[in-house]
Amino acid sequence: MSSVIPEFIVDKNEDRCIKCKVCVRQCSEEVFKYFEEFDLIRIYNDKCVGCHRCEMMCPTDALTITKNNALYKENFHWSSYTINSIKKQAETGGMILTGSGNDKAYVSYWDRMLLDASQVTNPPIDPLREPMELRTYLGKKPDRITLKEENGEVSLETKLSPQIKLETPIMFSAMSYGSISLNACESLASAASKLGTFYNTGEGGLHKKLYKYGKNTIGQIASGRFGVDTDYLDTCAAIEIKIGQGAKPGIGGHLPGEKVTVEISETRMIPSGTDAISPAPHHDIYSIEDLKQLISLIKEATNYEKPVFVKIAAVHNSAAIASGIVRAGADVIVIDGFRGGTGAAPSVIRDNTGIPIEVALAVIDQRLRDESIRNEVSIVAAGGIRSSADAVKAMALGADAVYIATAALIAMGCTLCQKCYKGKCNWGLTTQDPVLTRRLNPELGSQRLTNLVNSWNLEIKEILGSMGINAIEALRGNRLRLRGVGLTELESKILGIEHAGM
Amino acid sequence: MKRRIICNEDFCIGCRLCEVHCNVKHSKSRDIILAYKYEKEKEPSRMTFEQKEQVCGSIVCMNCKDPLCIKACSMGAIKIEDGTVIIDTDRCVGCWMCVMVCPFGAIKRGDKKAFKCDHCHDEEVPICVLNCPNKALMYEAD
Amino acid sequence: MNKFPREKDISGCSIFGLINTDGEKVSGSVITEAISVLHDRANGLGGGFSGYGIYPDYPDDYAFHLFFDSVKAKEETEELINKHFLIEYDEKIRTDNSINLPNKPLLWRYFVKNRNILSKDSEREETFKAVMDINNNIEGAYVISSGKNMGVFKGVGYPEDISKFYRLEDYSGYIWTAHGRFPTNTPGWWGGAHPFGLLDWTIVHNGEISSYDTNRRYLEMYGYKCNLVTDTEVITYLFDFLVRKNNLTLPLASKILASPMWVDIDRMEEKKRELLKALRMTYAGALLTGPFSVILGFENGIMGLGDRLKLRPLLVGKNENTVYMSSEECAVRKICPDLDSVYRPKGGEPAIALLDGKYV
Repeated sequence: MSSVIPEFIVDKNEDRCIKCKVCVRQCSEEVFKYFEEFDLIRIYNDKCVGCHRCEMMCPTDALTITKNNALYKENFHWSSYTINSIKKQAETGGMILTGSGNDKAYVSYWDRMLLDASQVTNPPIDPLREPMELRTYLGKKPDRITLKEENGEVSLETKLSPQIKLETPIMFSAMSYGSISLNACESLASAASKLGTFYNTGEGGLHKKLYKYGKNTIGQIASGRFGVDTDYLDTCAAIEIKIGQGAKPGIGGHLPGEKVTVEISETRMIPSGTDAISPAPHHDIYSIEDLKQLISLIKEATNYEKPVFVKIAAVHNSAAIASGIVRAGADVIVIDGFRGGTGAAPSVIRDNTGIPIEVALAVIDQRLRDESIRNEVSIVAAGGIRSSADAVKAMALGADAVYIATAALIAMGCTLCQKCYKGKCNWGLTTQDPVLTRRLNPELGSQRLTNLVNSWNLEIKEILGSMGINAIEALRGNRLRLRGVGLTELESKILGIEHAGM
Repeated sequence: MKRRIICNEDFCIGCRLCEVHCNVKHSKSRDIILAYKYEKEKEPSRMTFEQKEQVCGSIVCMNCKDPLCIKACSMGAIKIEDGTVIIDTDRCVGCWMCVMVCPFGAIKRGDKKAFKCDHCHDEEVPICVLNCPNKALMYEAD
Repeated sequence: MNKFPREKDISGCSIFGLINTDGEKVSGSVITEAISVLHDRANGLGGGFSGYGIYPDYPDDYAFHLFFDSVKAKEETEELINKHFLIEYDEKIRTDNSINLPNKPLLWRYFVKNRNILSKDSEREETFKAVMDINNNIEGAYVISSGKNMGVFKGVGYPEDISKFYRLEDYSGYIWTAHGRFPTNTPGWWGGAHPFGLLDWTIVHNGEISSYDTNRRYLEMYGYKCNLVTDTEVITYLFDFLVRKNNLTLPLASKILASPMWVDIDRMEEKKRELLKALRMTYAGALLTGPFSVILGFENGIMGLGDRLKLRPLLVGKNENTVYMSSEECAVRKICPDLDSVYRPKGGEPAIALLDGKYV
């Protein structure tokens, strides 16, 4: 018998229930069971993960999922979550796993920063009347341009490093085929191509079906090196070396064998049914000079035609690490904050490791400027970007672009139940069960992602207009247009912004 | 214009909400709770839901080009109007020949009269297509 | 003089510039007459002028104009100048003290030569570094201009009063620019007045740069410290950075500061497209957004430039060998009622008039 008290209560209103049994068919956790003999839908609260699929599918709104408020006696220090965790560990002897990003009540600096707007001395710009440019190029920029003159005609002499062109400074962050379904991957890929931006393969390789979106694909190379071959390198528009992930810095990945279907095994190039283990470190990168070699290797293999990204988790010493990464030759550096999501991680790591992306971004951008190497690299901020406002604040702090993943999953249906690691995702996202994966029609998924980013684009343009700015590059690093509220002097100093009123 | 309701089995999630909404649409009150819990006269759904292992899908009248049901009906109760196969209930005598010959199992036995999907002729898009949560059901021109 | 303001300086303004393309000199009273027409666009809290060709006695020396808050600042500055330069001559800038202006700093000018014989480029780089050094490291000392055979005269007051104060009628030059300022903050701050000068660059500026901090932080990577917190300072430095340090032409620098839209770049023929794309990508931190029109003065010409959305006025007029640029036509007509031609450049399109008679 389990001694863990159910977290949720599933309440069914009998006056409204028409016994259509949608809930029975839709819940992959088997919370509902229909007994024909008694014409009864029996509910098992202990199985409910709080994903709300049944609630949303019920045609008569007969279902309500509520938090079990009668958990344990209120205790500020020993929360119900803590008590349940201890009980689960006492029962199983294992680590507590979780999915998605850190959900604990740490400060969000996005919510402590406000944006500026133009009044009188500087006219705001109406984005419906005036051009408003969001186009962004990611890649190493030279310090200066040299020109040549032939027959009186001036042209470019400097050969630029490879760049990728984004029509919006929002990209979809790494989620592997394996951690998410192929339909989810296809939704992201097709949305990225419609939006003129990029999605990232995660460490899942590239399914044959998705090769056609190659121009909008960033191929990831992580410590397991899954799915990397010549075709992969040739097809993707840019290559990302993943050192770490914001949700689980210093922790590798583990896709259990039961999730490694035939198709996944082909895509990842491993035997089907075997565990896909990404080691915590790259075993050929034990220091920065090794990273330099891998970067050079990838550039050599891709004929110096593709920008190489390096992704790190935001940790205490990020600024110095970032500087090293730039000097190791990366074209783009991705910083993933502690709110970033994951398909599976020990909750003790997810909830206690890393630093906020706002802080990491601010110090990295400043550090690279102090060293006069900011032009040599583009910065992508990731990890818990929730809205266009967060994205704008990130760019004002110094980011060239942002990655979103949790927001993208939510657009496709996710309700952040944080049970991704179970492989039973009711929304067909973080599962490989064919009964569940078909719940995400890529056409719908792609449309919803496109809508999301388009609406953020509109909002970003509106914000830029209110600031009197008409090109996204004039926002980048424009920290004067940010003001802190409720920040200490030290926090303001670290973020490099003034407090409101200054 | 002749149109068809087609189910893409790749994306049918087996929720059977198409049936629910079909029933409501063809009920007296057109209210989901009244129709299910209080109305006495009920017809089985016009949708035929089929599931075999992991594959499922809903089928309705495909509006065949040369429908077998029309040939089989001795009363001349079935006709094609604007591309849609329609059963004239005034003429139907309930001999069930159409039910027998329909290759899709799309015609159902009602109380003494045969009935089938009418493509919700008073709606722009059939109600099952409109309410399919995963766009598995599509209303397409032939 | 006040301490540096903490906030970014904001002001609206009037601007005026003229060049005699044959190099014939005109008295400072001419431009004073023009800018005084635009009295209403200033509010008495800032006015200034720059003149080129005004020091024929020291044509090859860097003329440093300085504001000092204290004698101590002056002593420290002179020590620093002496380290790098030979002071040929120095004097208190002659002023008419019957003109009543607030918070007057100590005004001094130095004519200096580099101690070492250097190429033109490294000589200018040395001078640039010395100017940065003084502005950043000596409290209460501000170099307001540092070019050869030119100078900036500015202060708190209406431009016509500033002109009288500095006795501009005593100077004659082939290029003059002028500015009347309407600041919304930092009253009484002499350093906030325009023109803003570095080496032989001077800028008079009408507008406000919404990209200020992006530009400031970009420039700081390349040794420019923006301590005077006006956007005009940033524009001056950007020109110095792009033209002097990066060897770009003024028209190309304009295409960076007020870049064409991407849609327009996309439509250009390949060579030009690749060039402008590379410029915009590489010098992204130098893009100026927000409303502005500026008149840039330099050794051998003036250039007018407006922002890419054309949110501020700029007019170019020509009469025989004189080219006028102004935020308003009336100021030009006041000193030259009959013009051969008048036009208003499009946003982002530079209007350049050069000393040898070239008129772009």
